[in-house]
Amino acid sequence: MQDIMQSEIDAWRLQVKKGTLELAVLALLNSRPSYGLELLDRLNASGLDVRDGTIYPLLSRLRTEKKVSTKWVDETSGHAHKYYALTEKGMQILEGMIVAWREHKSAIEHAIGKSK
Amino acid sequence: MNDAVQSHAEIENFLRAFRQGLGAVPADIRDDLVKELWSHLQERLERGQLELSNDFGSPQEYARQFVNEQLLGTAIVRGRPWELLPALLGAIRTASVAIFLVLPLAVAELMGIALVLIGLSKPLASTHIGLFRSADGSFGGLGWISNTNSMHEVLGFTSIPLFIFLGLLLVWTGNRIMLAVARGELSRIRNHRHNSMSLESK
Repeated sequence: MQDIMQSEIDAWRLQVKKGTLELAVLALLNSRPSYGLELLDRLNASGLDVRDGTIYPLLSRLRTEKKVSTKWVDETSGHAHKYYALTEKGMQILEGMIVAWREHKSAIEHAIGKSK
Repeated sequence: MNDAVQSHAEIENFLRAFRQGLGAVPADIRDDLVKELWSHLQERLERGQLELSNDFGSPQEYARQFVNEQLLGTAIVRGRPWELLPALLGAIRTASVAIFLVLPLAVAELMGIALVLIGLSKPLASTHIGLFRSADGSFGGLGWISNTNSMHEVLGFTSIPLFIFLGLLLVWTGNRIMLAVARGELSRIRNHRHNSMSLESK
């Protein structure tokens, strides 16, 4: 019974992550451009456990939608990295997403507060 | 074979299969994706954190995510019917949607183009091109009629703007519906991808 409840909570947590990963990626890229693995490290350091395979299809989509731009950089040590940076469109969408997220978070906190 | 050599071979095999899976993606984007993944895997290997199958799944399945995303996403952004149609047919997994929705839309758009061409070519052979009625009053034909003895053309030169307008309307409407279908399909692919893989904790 405990296992079933935990798996339901995990499934719900997955849905929440699914809906918010794009916001987290755009927000991190807004603070500074990053390449894929560096971005993964930053996401995981924030407590969002994201697998390697998830990040590139998302970045590819963001690029198709012109929310991010890319640039290959030959590092002085090691190999070349493809850096992602927010475009003007990406910044505008991020601002809108942050407002929507705060409104949503406030509404949920309000609902949780009433349930106690 | 030592571990490092084995890991390099594993990466090369993965990337080879990944590249093959990207077959339908334009060559420059394909090269870019493979180069990026190579850089990522090399760095993971250097850190001693390479878990290929756990992190990426099968290379073919992983490549499919980019193929659908790239082809459909790019076709939607550009909105060109000749790019939308093959991208949609390649991505759609439900045969009934392809047969009863996408293909009829493609036929409608072709009919629209044909109408525009009929309208534009009317001045070149005004007595043989247009909307024809038979002597008994029934529909005789639309387009080019070589033998017009038993029928007469109904619209005259009015057919030029009429056919061009109707043709463009048909193409425009068909394309709008196809764009909506493509957006729905892309959304379905993204949801499926999120649900089937890899956001879970390592």
